[in-house]
Amino acid sequence: MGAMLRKEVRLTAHPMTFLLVFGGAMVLIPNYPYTVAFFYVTLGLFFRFVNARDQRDFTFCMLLPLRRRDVVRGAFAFSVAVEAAAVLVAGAAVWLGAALAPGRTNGAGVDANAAAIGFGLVVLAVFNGTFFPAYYRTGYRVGAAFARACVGMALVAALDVVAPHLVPWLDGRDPRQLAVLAAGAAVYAAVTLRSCRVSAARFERADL
Amino acid sequence: MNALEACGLCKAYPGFRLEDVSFSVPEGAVVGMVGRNGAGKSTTLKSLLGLVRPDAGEVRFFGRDLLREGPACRQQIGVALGEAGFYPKKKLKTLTAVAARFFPDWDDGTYRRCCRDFGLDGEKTVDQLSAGMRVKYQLALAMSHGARLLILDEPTSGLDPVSRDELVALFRALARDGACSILFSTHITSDLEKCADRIVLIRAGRVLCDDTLDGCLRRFAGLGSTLEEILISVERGDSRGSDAP
Repeated sequence: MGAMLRKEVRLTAHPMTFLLVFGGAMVLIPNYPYTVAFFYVTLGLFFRFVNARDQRDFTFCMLLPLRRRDVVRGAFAFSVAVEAAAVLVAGAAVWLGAALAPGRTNGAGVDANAAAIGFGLVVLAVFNGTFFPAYYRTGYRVGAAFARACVGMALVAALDVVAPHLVPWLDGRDPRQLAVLAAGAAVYAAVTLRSCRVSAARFERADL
Repeated sequence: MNALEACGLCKAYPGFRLEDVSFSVPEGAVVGMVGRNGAGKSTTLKSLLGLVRPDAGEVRFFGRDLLREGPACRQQIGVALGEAGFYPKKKLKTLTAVAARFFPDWDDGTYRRCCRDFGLDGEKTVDQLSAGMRVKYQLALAMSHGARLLILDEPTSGLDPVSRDELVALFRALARDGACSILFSTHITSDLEKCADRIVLIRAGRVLCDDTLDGCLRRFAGLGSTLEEILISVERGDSRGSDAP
């Protein structure tokens, strides 16, 4: 897996993929739907897949002693690393925002707190669960796969805007927000693992 | 043992079928796969490499099943599909550094020697190489991880006669001591007459002939005296000699 990650970083990743890891810092923006910050992270990953297709990454991989599922797992490992880094950036930004402007509220969705990170993890889960299986069905229809993922991510973003009106303790600071964060992490882990298996199985059947 | 055995490969596309393609590449042999554009050469090679999933049939490299033992098979084969169109803006040294990590048997000394012999400059990007040099770069990668079988899709297409002659001589040299087998597809029949031990003639998705070069020429003697004449006659539907044993 080390060799695969090295290939991802040195060849396949797009510079925007690394830049948009810092999209998580958008939780510092006042009155902003913070799920969008995580959408930008997935946009960075989208660039990775466009780059891989245009640079004929699969042709290069065919020179290497890899199974197709190894290729899929390598892409997943890289994507999860990018997403984890973005979540850490977002977490640090939430802490920084609270330190710089205590009591700051958000008029466009959940406040910048643990629950917002939980919603962000669900956005990433929707991306992983939708984009990868759709993309690896063909190995080249990257735009269609991302468009499909965007629909799901937009629904989560809408829920993030509405949720504080329905569940007031999602705003401000409340210990129950940690449960939302944990639930988001659990959904992320479960969906990503399942998506990896489904994507690998679909890619095994694809004609390249 | 054969370096490659393809048994009963079938693949159906809208408007094209690969039907029951079977042939083998003996160890140390140079096997040329010939047929007109669209005959099924690339589809066959892609099926051999697992890029296309055949509807039926199996592929064995040095006795190992490609589907069950893919990585072990790929350790022993080198591939050049077209003109190495991957990562055109990356330097050769970057691509090599990445690729080398995947091969336990990678030999830096062999790679440096191949680069010297082939005139490859690691500071150049892929798109700065000529078509022939791109093929040579892929051969250098293959030789450096100890590939025992080279599968090359139209490696001499688009090259000038001098470059083609150099590549053909290189194929012959690689197979000379029996350490390396080569399967390459082409529609340039004169290249095959210079270096191939065996010919696999494909027409409309079917193997029409899998024989030694001399055997193939004898079998279709009624259609012409060269592979080119035979290929043209076969494609025009001339049946003389096609049923010969």
